[in-house]
Amino acid sequence: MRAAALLPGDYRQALCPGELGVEEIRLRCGRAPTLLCDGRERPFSERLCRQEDLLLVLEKASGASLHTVEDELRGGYLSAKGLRIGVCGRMLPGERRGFQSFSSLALRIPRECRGIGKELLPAVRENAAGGTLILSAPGGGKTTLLREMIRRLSDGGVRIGVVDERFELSAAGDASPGFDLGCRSDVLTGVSKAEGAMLLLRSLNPQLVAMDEITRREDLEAVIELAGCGVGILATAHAADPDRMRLRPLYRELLDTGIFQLAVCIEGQGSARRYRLRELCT
Amino acid sequence: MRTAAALLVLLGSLLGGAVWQRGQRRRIVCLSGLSRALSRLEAELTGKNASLPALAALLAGEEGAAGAFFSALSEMIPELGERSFRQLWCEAMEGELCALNDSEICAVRELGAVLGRYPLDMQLASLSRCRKLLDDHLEQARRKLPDDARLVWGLSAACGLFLLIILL
Repeated sequence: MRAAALLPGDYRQALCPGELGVEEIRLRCGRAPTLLCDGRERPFSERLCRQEDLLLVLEKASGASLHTVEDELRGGYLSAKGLRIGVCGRMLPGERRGFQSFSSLALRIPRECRGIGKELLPAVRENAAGGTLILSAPGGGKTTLLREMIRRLSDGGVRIGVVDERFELSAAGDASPGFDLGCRSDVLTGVSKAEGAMLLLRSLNPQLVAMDEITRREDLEAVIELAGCGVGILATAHAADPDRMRLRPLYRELLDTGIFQLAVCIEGQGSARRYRLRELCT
Repeated sequence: MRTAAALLVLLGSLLGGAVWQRGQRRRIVCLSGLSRALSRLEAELTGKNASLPALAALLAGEEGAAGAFFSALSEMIPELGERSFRQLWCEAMEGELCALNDSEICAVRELGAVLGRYPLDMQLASLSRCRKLLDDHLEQARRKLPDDARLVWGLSAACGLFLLIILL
């Protein structure tokens, strides 16, 4: 487990080698560290986590150079070795943002689940020129499903541009992607979705652009731009289903554009996950 | 025999003065090298937003104690995660920057606690503060060295002569 390499020595030793199904490692100041498996947290060491442990993890992840990841930290995360580390703590006041001190870390462990969502593929492929949204609550497995859809569509002949802002889709640590995203995928990492989508559009002639988590207005504008150019979109969003999605003004606007005609809703957790297709109508 | 012993005492006193002067010269060279290295570190951090391990490797090429310090730090970088950057910084200091006085060591140690851990502007402010202190001390040491050297040589010679007179 790559995430284990970032942990302090005693925590690393406390983890069972080859531990399966771990989705996250959680470190909270003053609490025992836990593993998140199948939606449940269980402690893996009795030693309570200290502020110094969090700093050690962050120092290792950033190569003792937190200033090089200030932009990411302002967004509440840090990418390292193909992992995403969610951070929480006391933020600096005013416009400066950034963290004054850290209280919790969530080391998210990206997984490659080959073969998931096989039954969705024909519908998603048919809609490749349009827009498909993958929806679930946080931690529902949107990114894992998106990754698998990209790989299958790409291997199936679709030229895909992947905007991987947070290094989660490709889990890329260097020039080569960590996960197999298919033979016809061009992966752009470390750039905002809006900027990356335009860059791919201009330079790589994608048939479909895939991106994780549409959350900001700029993302929405990029989606509109892409659709206007006749490029298909495969994206994820935080929402249990399209009806709840409409509760958020930005998502309501997104749905009203009519760009997305298909939604894949993920229900349940862990091995009990189910995928449900829903047609979206404006 | 008494004459030989007295001469040895005189020689010892003079040697004490020479050792002091050599220590001061080493301190000046160390301060000067470290100030130059920190100035380069500041410029690299400001311009390129580079990572500290890369900068430590770059500064390992500096001459003298500063180069040796950054070289030692660079070699310890793989231990990150087991020990904090601050600990590695302090450990590297112990071996290589022993020519500095207490307040200078304290300032450099404080700098190690800030580097890589806080926002860039705070790191740069801390670097600038530390460099200013080192520069002030360097200037002071350079200015005072001739006078202090004369004083120490005079004192050690006088002390040696005094012992010589007593013994003879």
